[in-house]
Amino acid sequence: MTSWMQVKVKGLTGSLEVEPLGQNAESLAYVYAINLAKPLPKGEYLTILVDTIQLHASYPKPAYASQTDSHFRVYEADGLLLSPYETTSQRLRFKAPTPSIRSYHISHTLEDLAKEEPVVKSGATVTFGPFKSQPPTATKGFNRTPYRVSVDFEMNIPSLTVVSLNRSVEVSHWGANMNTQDDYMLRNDAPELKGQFSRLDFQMAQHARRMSPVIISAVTLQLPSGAQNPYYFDLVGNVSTSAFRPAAKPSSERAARLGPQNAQLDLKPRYPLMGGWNYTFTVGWDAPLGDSAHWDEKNGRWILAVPFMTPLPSTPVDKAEVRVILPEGATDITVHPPFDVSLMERSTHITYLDTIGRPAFTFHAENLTEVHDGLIYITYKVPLAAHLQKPLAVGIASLIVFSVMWTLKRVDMTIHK
Amino acid sequence: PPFSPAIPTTLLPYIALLLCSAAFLLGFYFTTLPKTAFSIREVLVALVASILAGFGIVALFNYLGVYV
Repeated sequence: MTSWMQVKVKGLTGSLEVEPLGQNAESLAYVYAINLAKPLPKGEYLTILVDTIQLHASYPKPAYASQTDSHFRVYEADGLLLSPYETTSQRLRFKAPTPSIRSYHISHTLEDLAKEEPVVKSGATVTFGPFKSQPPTATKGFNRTPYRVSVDFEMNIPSLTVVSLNRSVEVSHWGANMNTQDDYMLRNDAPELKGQFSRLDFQMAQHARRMSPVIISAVTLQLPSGAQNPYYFDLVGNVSTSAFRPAAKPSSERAARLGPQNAQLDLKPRYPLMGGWNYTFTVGWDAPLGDSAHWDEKNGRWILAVPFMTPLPSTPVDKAEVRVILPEGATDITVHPPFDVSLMERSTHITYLDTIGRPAFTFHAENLTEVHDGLIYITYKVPLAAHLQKPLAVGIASLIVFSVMWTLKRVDMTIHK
Repeated sequence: PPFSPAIPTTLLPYIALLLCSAAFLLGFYFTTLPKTAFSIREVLVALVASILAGFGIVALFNYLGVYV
């Protein structure tokens, strides 16, 4: 499934505007309109680069593997470009993560369309084509199945998927703190484990440093530089196999100019993740509110910037829910998500020392990758009276206790004869 | 300008200790007051102790890591 699309003109910075037009009734293709900056005159050339990211685009083959086997995947695609225009010349170039490509396959009908060598493999790249003078393929009744190609390649990086991510960010003005808590559900998308997990084989591989990429034994999170007091637990309890490296203070002027460095949190799940295995856990940390919130003097409001998620390299996030909890009594709230989210909810969250509850905004999104790591901007106002609601609530509770004690002192509970 | 709290966070532990102990002592003094029909002193002591307790508890929560 396509998770992200960006269109650029070759040689120019900045991207063009893409408009999804939905599904065409005749050809059943999903159509996107790309608006050029200025119209292209007749007879002129323009090179447009369309970048898309597809999630779960390949599947492991064989589907089952033992913990010492290698990891091979198959990517299948349409050899002919899906296009509403005539194509003078087209080529499909596939670049694998490693040069070790087990096999590649091109269908016979597609082979006949190529004038010279239909497939060429060079290093980690397999090129199908060129196919000259093709008619438009996004038409009614055009059958693309005879033109399939596939490549069988070796994967040498862990294929982790975040099945679901629930992030909860709580802002505190009294404590000048922003707490971020992530609930992760991870899955290892390598070939599923065949047979039993052998702890002996695993420890031997670990000792000899020859662990197959089918196994995921650690996940590293890059946290913002001010992160402190991290916690990591799962359903069983606290997980102690983790290492937190706070952001290093810049040692020289030049280092300081690079900007704040990330803090790093290395997490080791309770058990190594074999192919097809899942792991669910919760991580959280505190950060000074001064790193994320600014006071806008001109409008008299606070501006809060919350990262949507902590991007994990080459890891798709199937479903994400981010909830931002503002201080009690926040008013005039404006919310700016970093990209189009599928659903935005507003709710009231009640926690310690709350009287009316805190406004909370939940953003739901699907099919995210590391390119979706933007900032959610929220602006709000908190009057002084709202700040004082907390000590007032505790004060009133304490006054109630005093009054109860006052009345009880004057109630005569002795037993009379 | 970046967010800076009205009360600096480094001071919060000391404020918590001071206010909570003051509220505790005043509460204790409240229990020693004589049993009269109505005494303004009792009301004042209860009021001051409650206000101190209010701010003291909020500072205590923040110091302990429950950022309210």
